Amino acid sequence: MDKHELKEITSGYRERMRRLALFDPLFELDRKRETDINQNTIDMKGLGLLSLLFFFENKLLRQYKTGVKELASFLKSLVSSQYVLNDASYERLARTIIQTFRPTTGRKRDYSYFNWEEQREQFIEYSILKANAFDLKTNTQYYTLDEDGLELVFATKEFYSEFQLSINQLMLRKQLDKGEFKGALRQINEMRIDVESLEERMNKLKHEIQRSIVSEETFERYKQLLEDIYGRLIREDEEFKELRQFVKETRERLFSKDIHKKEVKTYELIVKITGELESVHYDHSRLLDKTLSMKNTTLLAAQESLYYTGIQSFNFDQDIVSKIVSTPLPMDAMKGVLHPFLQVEQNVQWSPLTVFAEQNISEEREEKVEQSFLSVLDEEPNLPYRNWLKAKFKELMQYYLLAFEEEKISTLTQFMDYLDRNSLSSIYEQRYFYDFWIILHQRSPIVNGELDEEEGKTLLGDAISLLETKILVIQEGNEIINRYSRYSIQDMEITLEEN
Amino acid sequence: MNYSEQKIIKAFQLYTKLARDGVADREAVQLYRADDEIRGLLEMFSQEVDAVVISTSEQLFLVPKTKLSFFHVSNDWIKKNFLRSSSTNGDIYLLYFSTIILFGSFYDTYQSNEPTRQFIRLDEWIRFIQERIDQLKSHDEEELKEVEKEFSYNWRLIIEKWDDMDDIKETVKKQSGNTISRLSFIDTVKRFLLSQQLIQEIGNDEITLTEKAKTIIQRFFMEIEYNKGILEFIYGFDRRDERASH
Repeated sequence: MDKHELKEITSGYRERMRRLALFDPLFELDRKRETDINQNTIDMKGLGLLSLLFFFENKLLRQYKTGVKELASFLKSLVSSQYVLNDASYERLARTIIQTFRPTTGRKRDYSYFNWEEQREQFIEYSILKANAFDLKTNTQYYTLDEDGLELVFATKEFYSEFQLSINQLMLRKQLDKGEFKGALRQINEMRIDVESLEERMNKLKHEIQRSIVSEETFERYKQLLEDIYGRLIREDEEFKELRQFVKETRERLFSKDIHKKEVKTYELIVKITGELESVHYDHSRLLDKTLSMKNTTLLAAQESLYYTGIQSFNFDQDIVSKIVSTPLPMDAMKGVLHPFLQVEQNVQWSPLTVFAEQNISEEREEKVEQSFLSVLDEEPNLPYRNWLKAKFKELMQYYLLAFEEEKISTLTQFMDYLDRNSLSSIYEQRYFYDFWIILHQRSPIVNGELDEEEGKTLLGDAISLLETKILVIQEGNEIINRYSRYSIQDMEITLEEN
Repeated sequence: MNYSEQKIIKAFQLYTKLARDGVADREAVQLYRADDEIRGLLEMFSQEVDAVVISTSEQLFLVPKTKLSFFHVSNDWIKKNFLRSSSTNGDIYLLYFSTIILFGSFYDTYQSNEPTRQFIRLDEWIRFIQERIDQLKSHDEEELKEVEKEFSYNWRLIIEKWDDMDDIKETVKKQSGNTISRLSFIDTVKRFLLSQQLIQEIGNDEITLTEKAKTIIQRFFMEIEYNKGILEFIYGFDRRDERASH
């Protein structure tokens, strides 16, 4: 074979190796010897793949709180018929699987190989799972599939992620054709993931460009990359537009056939599909915008920095940490290294001029103005209602005094119990019951005559005059009473004292 | 060169914002990039205060450059805001030391410009510090003492501080705040870096670098001007010369 042909054969070697490398963690799992209680070997590779699918499904459902516990319970429900294991071992398995996909050292998984195209040793880094969020209270970490994890999931389905969106679009069309609306909805959800991961990748790319264009060569590469992405997005966008049209037509067809009356479910599905598709399309077109702005601003800004950044590689650990420690350099050197990272110092000064500045003058008041809950002194001429309320309040007070005399009740709960026993429960199904206690609580302690409630004139007057010489003291209790579904009130301690 | 008043004011406004916050937004970036005069002025201003303007397409950073810049946060400020009231300069130096090692653990290869790890666990960070402390200890004690006197270095203080601490205080439940242990010290450093938006917590005692930290590492430390003999530049100090003159 001549040289040229050899080159053909090895071209794209790295990409091919990368895809092989992705499968590495699964085989690593396979090598782990795990057995159940009956000494049956557990199919770790299978569980690994299933876990990936589980994370994929959760991503699909936009269920982002997926941690070890969730995975363990998923594994349990899936394999408990096959293996005999206790709960703790499910959790251990889940942890092993997660740690295989996402090593606890923090380093990305890597894979070394000899690149026959470039005739040198190389290594590939990839990341399958990543931390997504965490709960500070329980110190639980949640995970989601990273870019390469998605790639791995797709790789087991015979196609690769960069074509994923187009394939989904194609499948959606087919499914709509056949009237498989449920499947179509799922297809759209998958498309959403594609768009999301595309967005994530763009963000990463953006940061990459911002930080580190080091040569004209890499600049060209990024430029090419962005152009490719743009082209691809345009194609997908066109397909989206057509799909929308297609869905619209399908919907109209169904509508005209009166299916929306006969098959409500189908019609609901297609309405949902329309909505979801629109929203995915919207997200997608935002990406289009983003690429354009990246091409126009980010890349140009980065190109400018080309004049300044000059080195190909830099190793903080070697160039700085080791130097400081091994020489050893003065402390101030360390300070100098770190200062670029820290915020600039701000000195806050007091200005003597403030002496002459305007001053805040606030009125001095002897008493705070009470915040009123329900304005009982309202002079609204809504007389029939007021009279009714007045009578009701009086009635309530009578019941209370009666209850106090008979049973020495001292809390609101007990009073309600008393009402129950006397088959008067309907009273606390009324709003005025609650108003009454709240107002009294606000005014506690209540002494007849001391409040400016003159008998007969205001709402509470009649009720309070019943107290005669006694003092009613009301304090908050601990619990919330919820006897009647419409109202709830905090419990109150009620005491009646002789003046 | 003659600048119009308007330009000077514009540049000064931009500078004030940077001086106040250390960072300015996209609008500032556009202004900075679009107008040569404003850019020139801004660079002059920052040069006067020994700072550098670093621009990305989204943000402008004002970064204190050398030991002289009065933009550096003072030791007192760090003490007051982050450390225990009884802390000494030794604590601050240890805080610096730990931070530098943290960055080093993310950027420890010549193979790529990207960080080599995605996150680091706090206990591993402590292990890295221990490694470096051990390395420091391998220097001859006498020699360390000697250099110390000569240039008022304080390496032994750092070593002592670190060695005096237990890994964790077993008697307390929460390894943060005021107990004296390595873990709680690292927790303090973590809080400091969080407040500076240099790291981010991702739970499970793991932390990762923020975009700001990455930007500064790659754009400042990899910039050719600063990178040639980076420590000498930053410290403005050539050890051999000093020694020779003594």
